[in-house]
Order: sequence, then C-alpha cells, then structure tokens
Amino acid sequence: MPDNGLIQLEDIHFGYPQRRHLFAGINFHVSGGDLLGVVGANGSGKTTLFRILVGLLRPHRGMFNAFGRAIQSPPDYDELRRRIGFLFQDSEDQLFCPTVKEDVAFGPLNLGKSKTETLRIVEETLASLGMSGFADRISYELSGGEKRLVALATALAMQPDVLLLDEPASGLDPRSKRDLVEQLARIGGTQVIASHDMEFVRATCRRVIVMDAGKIVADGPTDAVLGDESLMLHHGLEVPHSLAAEGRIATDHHHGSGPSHGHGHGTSHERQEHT
Amino acid sequence: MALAEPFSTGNSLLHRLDPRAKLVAAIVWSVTLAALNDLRVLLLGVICAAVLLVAARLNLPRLLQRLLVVNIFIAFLWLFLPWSTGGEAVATWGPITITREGLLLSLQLTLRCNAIVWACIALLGTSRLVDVAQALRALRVPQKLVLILFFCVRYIQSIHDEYGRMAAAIKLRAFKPRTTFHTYRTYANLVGLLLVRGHDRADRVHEAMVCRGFDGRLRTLDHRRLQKRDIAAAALLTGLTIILVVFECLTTG
Ligand SMILES: Nc1ncnc2c1ncn2[C@@H]1O[C@H](COP(=O)(O)OP(=O)(O)O)[C@@H](O)[C@H]1O
Ligand SMILES: [Mg+2]
Repeated sequence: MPDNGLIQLEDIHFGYPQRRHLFAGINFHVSGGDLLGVVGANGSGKTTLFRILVGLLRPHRGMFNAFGRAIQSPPDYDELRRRIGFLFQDSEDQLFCPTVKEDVAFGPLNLGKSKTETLRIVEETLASLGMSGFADRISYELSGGEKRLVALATALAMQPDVLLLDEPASGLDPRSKRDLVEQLARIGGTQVIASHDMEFVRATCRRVIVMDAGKIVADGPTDAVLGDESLMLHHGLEVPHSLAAEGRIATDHHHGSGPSHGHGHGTSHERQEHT
Repeated sequence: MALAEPFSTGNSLLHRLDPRAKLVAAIVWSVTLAALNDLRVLLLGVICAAVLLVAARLNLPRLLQRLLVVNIFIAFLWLFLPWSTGGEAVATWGPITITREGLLLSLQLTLRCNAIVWACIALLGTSRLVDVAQALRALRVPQKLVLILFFCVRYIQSIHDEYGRMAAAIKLRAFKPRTTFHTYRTYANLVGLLLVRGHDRADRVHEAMVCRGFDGRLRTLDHRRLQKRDIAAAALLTGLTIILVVFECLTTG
C-alpha cells in the first residue's frame, strides 16, 4: 500500500435491492496528488463508488480507510465529507439556495466559519474560477456550464483534500468543457473524475481505472489504458480520437507501455491490483 | 423553475425589511382579516394590501399570473355559493335561485382571500425561503416544524420542475389529451412518475446538503439585527390592522 494513500477501499461489497451484488469485493485506492479517471459505460457503478466514498451509501462488507483511519461511525463520515468535495452528476441537485453567493457560503457556514470569513472564502473561490461577477446571480437562471462551475465552487469552498467529480463534462459545450479542464488543472490537488468522455479524461487525468458491471477491470497510466483498443471496446468504451490521431493505440496486448497489471492474454479478466 | 421564489430578489423597501418583522406583520394581518366580515372594511383591507404590492415592485407578469391562479379558485366559489346559500332571492332561472346572501358571501370571501394573499405575497414573497425559515425559528417555532415546511416547499418545487420536463417529453411524442382511456392512463402514469422523480430529486438535494456539512440547522449569511425601520414597519402594519378592527366594530356596533 502506498505511503501517501489517502483513501483505501478493500474488498468492498455493496448492492441495491434490485442489483444485489453490484460490488462483490472491489478494491480501490487514491493517493495524495492523484489525478485519477474512473471510466466505464453507463451503469458500471461509477456514481455508486463515489457515493460510497462520501458515505451517502454504506458498504455491506469490507474495509474503508481514509486519511489514515478506518471509517465506521457517523462522526467518521462527517469528518470524511468535510475532507472530500463531491461534484454531483446533475448540478441542479447541488444548487438549492436562491443566489450563487449563498450556495457557495452554505458549506463554510456549516463548518462553523464566521460570516466575515465565509464571505472571504466565497469571494476567493468565485474569483479563482473566474466567476466574481456571479455572486448575486440567481442560481437557477444560470447556463449549464455556469451551473457546473458554481457547483464546483460550492465543493471547493469546503477546502476539501480530495475532489470527486461525477461526470463533470456531461452536457457541456466544447468551450465550457475546455474551461473546466483548465480550471481543474489549476486547482490541482487530488482529484477523482468519473466520466465516459474519454477526451476529457485524457485531458485531466494521469491514472485511469476502467469499471464494468461493478468490477474494476483495468488500472494504469492514462494513455496506456485509454489506448488499449481491445480493452476499451470490450468494456463498451472507445479510444479517444486524439490518441488515435497520434497513432498511439495498442492493438497488440504485448505493447510495452500497457496498463500496469501487464496483461498479456486478453483484457476481460477482473483486474484489481495496481503498482 | 419559475416557481423557485420568483419575487424574492428585488430592491424595494419591502425586500429590505427584516423577514422577522414581515412575518409578524403577515401573521397578524392574516388572522385579523380572516375574522373581519364587513364588506367596506374588507375592501379597505384589499386597498391596503394593493398598496403593499405596489411598494414591493414585483415583476408584473409573474405577479398577475400568480394572482390569476388564486382567483381561479375563487371563481369556483362564485359558481356554487350564490345559489346554494339560502336567503332573499334576487334572480331566478328555472330551478336555480340566486340569493342576496349568496352573492354577499361570495364577495366577502373574494375580498378576504385577496387581501390576505396579496399582503402575504408582498410581505413573505419578498424574502427568500431560507430567510422565512430562519424568521420562524426566531419566533420560536420548533426546528423540526420549520424544516418540514422548508422541505415541503422544496419538494413542491422539484415536483413542479419535473412536471415541466415530463410534459415536454410527452408533447414531443405527439400526445394529445382526449377523453379516452389512453389519456387517463397517461396522466395517471405521469402523476405517479412525477411523485417518484420529485421525491428522488429532493432526496439528492438533501444529500447535497449533507455533503456540505448540513446537520439539521439552516444557517445563512444574513444575521441582521432588527433595525428601527423594521420595528416601525411591523408596528405600522399592526396599527393598520387595529384600525380595520375598529372600523368593523363601529359599523356593526
Ligand atoms: N438508487 C438505486 N437503486 C437501485 N439500483 C441502482 C440505484 N442507483 C444505481 N443503481 C444501479 O446500479 C448500477 C450502477 O449504477 P451507477 O453507479 O449509477 O453507474 P454509473 O454512474 O457508472 O452510470 C446500475 O445498474 C444502476 O441501475
Ligand atoms: Mg453515474
């Protein structure tokens, strides 16, 4: 286990009433400074994984460590949510105050920050995202891209150690998407990004895991995983065009820079371990 | 999404007043007007409420839309009360007799409802939901009750939003309402789905709040002190209410 491991899920079991064994013993880890992409077709379990990570869902079995301690009791989960910022798949779910300023202030106020300090955090956060002029705008009248950024601001205002972003690029036009890529690069830190937009993942992540039907089937450096054509196709994904254009697709399984588990015989096996 | 507190942002005097002062005034006003009966006094109440609405400087089309909805309900009263209330006949068509008492009662209800609703829009509509919730807390309403009210309004909002989306989806598939079984079944499905989706969305909103440290207490940026202006306004409106009561006593006594 890496020394700078921030989050470890070991042998996690979880299911919904209609989908009893969605996760049957999955392992997942995030290290400090990771820019980790979680890719997988719709329904592969990305959102569920994130909801477990912030404690909105409790695993039925398994070990959950974060920030150097086991996460078990309700106070552990409170602490967890304080340190993990979560951008919801649908920004509409995340913005519930009438004005942008209040939405961004909601988290810091709950953390017990004073009014003046909260206002300072709100200003700084909005300014850092280039949204200073939006403080008094009405949340539900913003465009999709603006809503996404405001939702991101609400998460950032909590000053989290880890950012979880669930489909942050979905529904954005190309320019908003480029803006978001830039913002995420600037924010840095530790980020986990779920997406089925391969170009977006390639632009934002250094490491990628592939999920399919509740299993983690590959884990490795971004270009090595995304460039593995048979792996991608087999799990309902596609190689990003930019990678194809650069001629860096590994059609051959023995390609030197393949994903770190070094598969040599097909890619459909469940892969859970990493470096 | 037009439902989401359309009148809460603005710059009028009423918007700037403290929600607690407005809440007290609105409660006193509503309770009193509900008890008044004299038509002239009620008319005076409507005029006062209209003055408040003008002072709130609300978006006129949206305001009219809202007032229309209220008065559609009142129109139903006019359909039934004039002939179903016993009393002195003023007109007869076949088996239907319109009574003087029925007409007066309808008029009374119309004036009373509008006086109350107009004032509440002017007073409470000009504050945000969170602020009204906090004002309720300040008036010692139990936290649980306040949260129930708060989420109730939010659930209604999210159900309304979902309705907009689903109605559009149905129209896109060339659905035309008719008096057929298919139509009824479609509407029944729509309503069922609406409740489920509205509930789901409200759940996720709640989760989003939990993710940002929500522990059952609503906190907002504004922790203002009551100013002289606020107290004066509440006193003014309460005074106005008392004058109406005095008028009523004079006319009936
Ligand atoms: N609230 C829920 N109740 C029942 N099943 C669910 C629920 N949420 C997700 N699922 C099921 O779990 C699986 C994984 O879903 P999800 O985590 O949302 O995937 P993704 O985010 O990758 O699209 C899907 O089969 C989905 O139908
Ligand atoms: Mg998802």
